[in-house]
Amino acid sequence: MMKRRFKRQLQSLEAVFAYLETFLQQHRLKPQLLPVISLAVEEIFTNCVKYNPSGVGNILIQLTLKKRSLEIRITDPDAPPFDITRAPAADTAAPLSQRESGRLGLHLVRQMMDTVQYEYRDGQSIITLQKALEPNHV
Amino acid sequence: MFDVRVEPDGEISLVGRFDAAQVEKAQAVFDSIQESRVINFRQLDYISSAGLGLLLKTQKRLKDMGERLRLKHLNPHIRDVFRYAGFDAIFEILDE
Repeated sequence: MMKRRFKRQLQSLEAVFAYLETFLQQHRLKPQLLPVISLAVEEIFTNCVKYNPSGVGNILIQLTLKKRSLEIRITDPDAPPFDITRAPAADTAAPLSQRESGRLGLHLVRQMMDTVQYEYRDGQSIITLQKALEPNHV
Repeated sequence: MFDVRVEPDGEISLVGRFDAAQVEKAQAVFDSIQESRVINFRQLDYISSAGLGLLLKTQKRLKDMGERLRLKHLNPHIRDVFRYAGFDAIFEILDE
């Protein structure tokens, strides 16, 4: 398991991506997994930055390689409760004039990841993502 | 690393990784578009909802003017992202 904390700012994204890439390389996972997990992590991380900019403490990202999946846990240590698994879905079939970009990030997380779980504990928001590893990922 | 380049033929090339930290950089270029353009994704490795949002906003504005963005050279991952987002229905993706 690898864990690291990142400052609550968009400028942290470059370091977040480098951290994800290092993990994949260390565990010899295929590079095509990187944009998929990067997208999911970015969407959750930027939501922490955008919707909780005054939260105290850095955002923790933990990566765990399990037997057949990669688990990514993103913890905001000082967050109001907001269960992303209950957020309404984006309407991706709406015509252009009615399309909005809000909720698109969470929609993409749900598409990219196999499971998305939310916990709220002691003022902390904990989002756990699982991505099953296909034979071509290892 | 991310860059937005206006090519001599008017095409707009996106380069690198278009994440949420890069939207401001792209905003000025996209806001200046006043007519139909082709966006070339050949050198783009990655795009997130922030980049998609800017493309959407631009497409909506251009549509009101009778103009549009068309896209080309999306890599397989970005094609998947567009499909998940339903963007393949609101952007013409030019055949390779």
